[in-house]
Parts: sequence; C-alpha cells; structure tokens
Amino acid sequence: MNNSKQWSSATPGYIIFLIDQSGSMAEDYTNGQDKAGFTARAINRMINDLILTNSAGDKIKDRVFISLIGYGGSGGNSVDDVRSDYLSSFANSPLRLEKVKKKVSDGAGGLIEIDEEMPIFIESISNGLTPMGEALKFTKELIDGWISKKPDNPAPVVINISDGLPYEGSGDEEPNKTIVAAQNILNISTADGNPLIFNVHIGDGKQEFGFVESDSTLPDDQSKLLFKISSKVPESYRDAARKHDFSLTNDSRGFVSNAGPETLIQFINFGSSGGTDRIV
Amino acid sequence: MNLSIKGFITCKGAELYSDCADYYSSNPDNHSFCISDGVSKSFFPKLWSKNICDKFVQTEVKDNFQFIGEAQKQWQSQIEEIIAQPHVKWYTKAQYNKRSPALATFVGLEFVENDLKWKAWALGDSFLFFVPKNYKDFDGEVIKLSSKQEPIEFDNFPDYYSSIGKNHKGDLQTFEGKLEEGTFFLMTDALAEWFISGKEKAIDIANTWKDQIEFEDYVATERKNGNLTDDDSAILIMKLESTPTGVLVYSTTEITSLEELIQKQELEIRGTEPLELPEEENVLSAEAESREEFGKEETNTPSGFEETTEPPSEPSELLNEENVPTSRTELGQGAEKVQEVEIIEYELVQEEMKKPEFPIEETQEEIPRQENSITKKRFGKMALSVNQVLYEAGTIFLNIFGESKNSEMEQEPIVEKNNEKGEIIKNEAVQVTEIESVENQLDTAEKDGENAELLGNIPEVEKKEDNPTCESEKSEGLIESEKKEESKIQKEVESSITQEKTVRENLKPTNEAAKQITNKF
Repeated sequence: MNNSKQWSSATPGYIIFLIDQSGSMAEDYTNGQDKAGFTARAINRMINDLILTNSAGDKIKDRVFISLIGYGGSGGNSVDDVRSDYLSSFANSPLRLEKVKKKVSDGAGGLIEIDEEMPIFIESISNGLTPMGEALKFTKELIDGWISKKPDNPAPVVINISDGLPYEGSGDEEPNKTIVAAQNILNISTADGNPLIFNVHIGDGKQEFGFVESDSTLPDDQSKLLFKISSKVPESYRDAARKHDFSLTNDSRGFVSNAGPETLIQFINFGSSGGTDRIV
Repeated sequence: MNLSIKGFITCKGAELYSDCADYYSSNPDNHSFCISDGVSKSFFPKLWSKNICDKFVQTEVKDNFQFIGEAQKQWQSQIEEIIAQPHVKWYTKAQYNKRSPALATFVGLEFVENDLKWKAWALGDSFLFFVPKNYKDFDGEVIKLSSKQEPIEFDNFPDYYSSIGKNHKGDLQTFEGKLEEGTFFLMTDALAEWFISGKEKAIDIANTWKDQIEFEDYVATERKNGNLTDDDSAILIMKLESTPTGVLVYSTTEITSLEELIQKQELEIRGTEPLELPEEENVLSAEAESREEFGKEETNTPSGFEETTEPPSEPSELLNEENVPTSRTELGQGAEKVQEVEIIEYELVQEEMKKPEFPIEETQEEIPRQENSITKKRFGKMALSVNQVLYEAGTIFLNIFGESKNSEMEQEPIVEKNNEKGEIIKNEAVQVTEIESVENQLDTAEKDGENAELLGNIPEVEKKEDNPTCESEKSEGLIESEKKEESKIQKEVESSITQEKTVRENLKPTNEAAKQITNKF
C-alpha cells in the first residue's frame, strides 16, 4: 500500500509546510487574531504535539524531519526557509517559550492551575505577494534531495496553507506555474509511492469545500486550483481524515477551500499525522 | 531439575542501547522471571519496564499483584527526581504537568518448586511460549500466553500496565502448568511475531544462540531481510531437564545485562571510563552524553533562560484566545542581541531624520504587515530617503542599494535563531523589505494617480506651485531647468523600479538554499 510506511527513527518521515506570508494574511480571521497569527499558532501547536507524542521522557525520537517554508514573508516573491530540521532540534531550540495558564487534573478528581510552556517555532508574518508556484518549485528541490539521501523512507508530505490565489505581482502566470510545479512533485516516484500534497485555503466565512472527487461542483477558481494541485487521499490516510472529522470517498482529493479556524487546525493535524501512525 | 538460562537484548537499529525500552529480570532465589516492553511513545517507559520486572522477581507473593503498586511508587519517585533537576527540558515538564504515564507490557513466570508446577501471567503483546521436549507440532503442542486474542496481529496499540493509577488496558491472562522437560521462551513483540511465523524453524534457531553477539548478528540480518521488525528485542530462554532429584538447580546462566551493554557502548562512543554513578543515573547520563556524540546537537536549550515578569492572564485556548501569553522566556543571548540592534536602528533613523535641510512632513502610514517595530522604523527612514531623492535628484535614493544595505542590514537579524543557515536570504530579505516598502508606495501612488503628489511632495516645489505670484515671475530658463530636473527624477524612479524587479528575482531561493537544507537530512 502506498504512503503507508511508518515514521521511525530508522526511516523518518518528512513534512514540508508551505506557509503563505503575503500581505493579505494580515486580515482578521478569528477572535482578534489575523490569518497569519492563527496559522502560526496552529503550526506551533502541531509541532508541539509531535514533540510530545515522540518523546520518551527526556529525549525526542527523530521520527520526522520538518521544513517550514514561507512565501511572501520577506516581501515580494520571496521564498524563505523559516526552519528545517529534525524534530529533536525543534524541541531543543524553539524560538522561545510562552507561558500560559492551564487547568489540569490533580489525580484526585480535582483541577489545579499550572503554568504550561508553549514553544514557538514560527512567527506570524504577513508581508509580500503569493509566489506559490515558486514555493512549490523549491519544494521539489527539497524532495529530490530527500529521496536521493533517504530512498527507503516514507514519501514526503507537503501541506500548503494559503489565503488566496497564487500571484507574483504582474501577469497571471502564477496559477499555471503553480499547477505545473505541483504536478512535477506529484509525479515523483518513491519506494513508498508519490509524495503527497494537501492544500488548505483559509477562508473568509464562506462555505467550505473540500475532499471532493471532482471539481465539477466547485464554485470558484480558488477551489478548482486547489483540486488540481492536491493528491488523492491514500488509503493509509483515510482513517486519519475521518478521525479529524473529514468526510471523504476513495477518490477524494486532500484539500479544503474556505477553511474556518477549526477546520484549519483539523486539516493541519490530519496532514501531519503520518497516516495511521499517530492514531490512538 | 536442571535449569539453564540465556537472555539476550538489543535496541532498534538506528538507536542506542540506552534507548531500549525492553527489559528482563530473573531471580534464582525464588525462581522468578519477567520480561516487559515499554511503549516508546509514553513517558519514561524504560524506567517503568525495569521497575515492573524488578518488583515482580523480588516479590514472594505474586498473585495479589501488589508489585505493580510498588513499581508505580518507584517510578513516580524517579520522575520527581528528574523533574527536580535544574536543567530539565520544557517538554519533559509539559508531560509531567499533564500527568502523562508510562506504559508497558508484562510477562511473568514463576516456578513453584515444592509443587513442581509453573505459573505465568501476561498482559500485552509480549509472549511466553513453552515448547515441550520432543514436541512434534508447533500449533498443537506449544503453549502460548499473552493477552492478544486470536487471530494474532501485531500493531502499535498493545495492552499495557500504566505507571499511574489503574488506567491499565486489556485483561490479564494467567496459566498454570506442571513442571516438565522443555524450554520456556519469554520474548517481546518483534521476536514473538518472528517466532510465531517461523514456528519449528524459529525454535531451532533460537536454541542455537550461544551469546549476545550471535543473537545480535542474527537480528541484524533478519531485520535487513525484512523478516524481523526493527524494534527493541528481548528474549529469555529457560531450558528444563530432568534430574533424579526434584530440586531446581541452575546449571548455566548467560543473561546479558542491558546496563553493561549501555556502559560498554558509552565507552566506545566517548573513549573514556564511564562516570561512577548509581545504576539508574548511569542509564540517564549515558543517554544524554551519547545523544551529543551521535550528532543530535544539543543547541542552547531554553531551560536556563530568564523569565519576564508580566502578570498572569486567563487561560486561553487556540480558538478562543483573548490574551497574549502571560510571559515570554527568551533565549537569553538572542533576545539581548535583538534588543541591542533595535536600539542601534532607532538611533540611525533619528540621524537620518536630521539630514534634510528643510522641514519635511512624514506622510507614510503605519505598516500593518509586520509587528516588528524594526520594519516600521525602517519604512520611516526610507520614506524620508525618497523625499530626499526627489529633492536632491536621485543620489540618496540609490543608497537603498548601497549604504543602507551595507551599513544597516548586515547588523540586523530578523528572527531570533540559533542556527546559521539562511543568512544570505535574511540579508536579502531585509533589503527587500525596505525596497518593497518604497516600491509599494510608488506603485500605490501611480495606481491611484497620486504619483504627482508623491513625486511633488517637495516643499520648495509645492511652495512655488502654491504661489502663482512666484511662478509668474520665473524665467523661462528656470522653468526649463525644473522640467529637466523632474524628468531626471522620473528616469531615476523608473530605474529604481527596474532594479527593484531585479532584486525581486534575486529573492527566489537558490540551489544553495536547498542544499543547506538537504545537508541536514
């Protein structure tokens, strides 16, 4: 079965987050947070969960390598490696730790309030344009490098988070460029099947669309583009999708358009689940 | 009866012995044997599996399972000691605060000498097998004990004992039998799966292992061939042979000590004598040291950072966040460096503001794009620079690509990071942030038809335009001169836009950027 190889210390998985850091990500999203801020917090929370899940107490098992690639964040058509490293390196050197108050069980039926430290790995940035195609081109280079060094490892997974159509500043070539770049990635062969691309578009409160088999019912260019650049959800990930409250069929593509805050969190967690490995 | 015991243990292929969460114990004094497999995603499973085994073989009365409670107390005490250490990691504390338990499987075996019988208990996917001497049929004669139900399938979710409370999973299985000639095999899941699959052949092979080296060689080969799951692997092999007396006599014992394997490996890694520490501490310290040696660099961890003193706020969840976090703990040196740079930037902006000879009103708007105050200050500086160009015909504007880049940007990181990658990108990014600010201002001006205002935001020119009396008094030569000057400025602006587009192209990630990442794989 494709895309079913489990993450392990011997054969770590590879997740690449492509994060839209364009100027429009400064728009309000939920509860006083803008899209960029909420996205950053969702990613920080997900990496935190990965660390705790792969911790055996005082040591983190390097079962996954993570790349955080921002596009537009440094202005214009920039594509930046925000951070790329093994999980233990993320754990051992976050940008900083933020303290939040939390109530937890005291083991005797009551609750106590504790200070919990939340690590921060990526900041909220909203700046330039949306060079999604360029980001995907760069991603292909990373994937090619991964496969050449780790041919027996699980196929990489790309999770692309954006709030708009690709735009490079002039002309309308970026959407086509994005489709071509995505197809180039999806056509790569690995011992574990093709790399996966899952896309989530951050919405403005309109109806959500996603995990469909065909683009015939999709209402706009945005969702149709996402459909074209998204992988079919492989069998090994379908349980993970359902666990995160997504309805899908055997031919569903892994994307959501107009995602609200809860959906965004669920999607990020689904995409970074490594398939069945993290389902408990 | 003669009893010979062999015991072998090894870790996953990509890990160290100190990472191994399997454990076994034996006690010839009360004929007790135990094997346990800590669930690797739980909280200090190695300590838990060891405590279960040690407490089981030490206790005389096993049926009441009080040894589990004693093992839990010991585990809790060990965890408190770890958490009390000054440099405990944030994620260790986080799991402790969540009261995360350790989980482990269990197989225990006891020979009741007086009754010439044996008793066994099992919970999880570790197995006990008893192979009678001269057996003929694996499926019909070999006794199998675990809490796995038929059809047996191995997965990542075994039954277990929890180190906290009574949140165990699964139903404990028990068995009693008559002591007779044959061989007991206690093993953890990877070997159990191989054993069940191989049947008679697996029994023959297991009986040939004379020592730890032969065992590890075989395991390595079978992992490579895909016949054995790459997982921690432990096995106890106890062979019973009849003697004229009914007394149990231990003839040979070849049980590999995990602690000794860890010490020996540490010696090989460091090339020094291991520290003289109590057993448990040795395991933990060896792990910490060997982690460094194996290339997982211990970068500056935030355990010793300074805390700010902001007042506590209400708890906040991701979706309902109302407050900023209560306090921030910065990586000490990094935070200080950023603060220092901010001060320098502020001073430079102030100096820049002093440059024009005549008063200029700042018309730029606050930039909502970034929270970074450095960017806001930079925009202010650039807006003034643009105005200066418009005054002084282009020279200073070119400083965007010259002095500004060299003098300010190199001093200034954008993100507080410990690693060294991406510096080139960062410098270019800082550069583009400034250029983008100017470009956006110019683009906006052009699109909205404000170009004239932007370009004409020159107090002297404005004053003259606003004063018809002055204009009418101009000579033709002066008007011509002004037109030439405006044309020159326009050309320079167009030139800067072209240069800006070139810089944009240069922002695209280079092969070098990809290589820096792939070098870490």
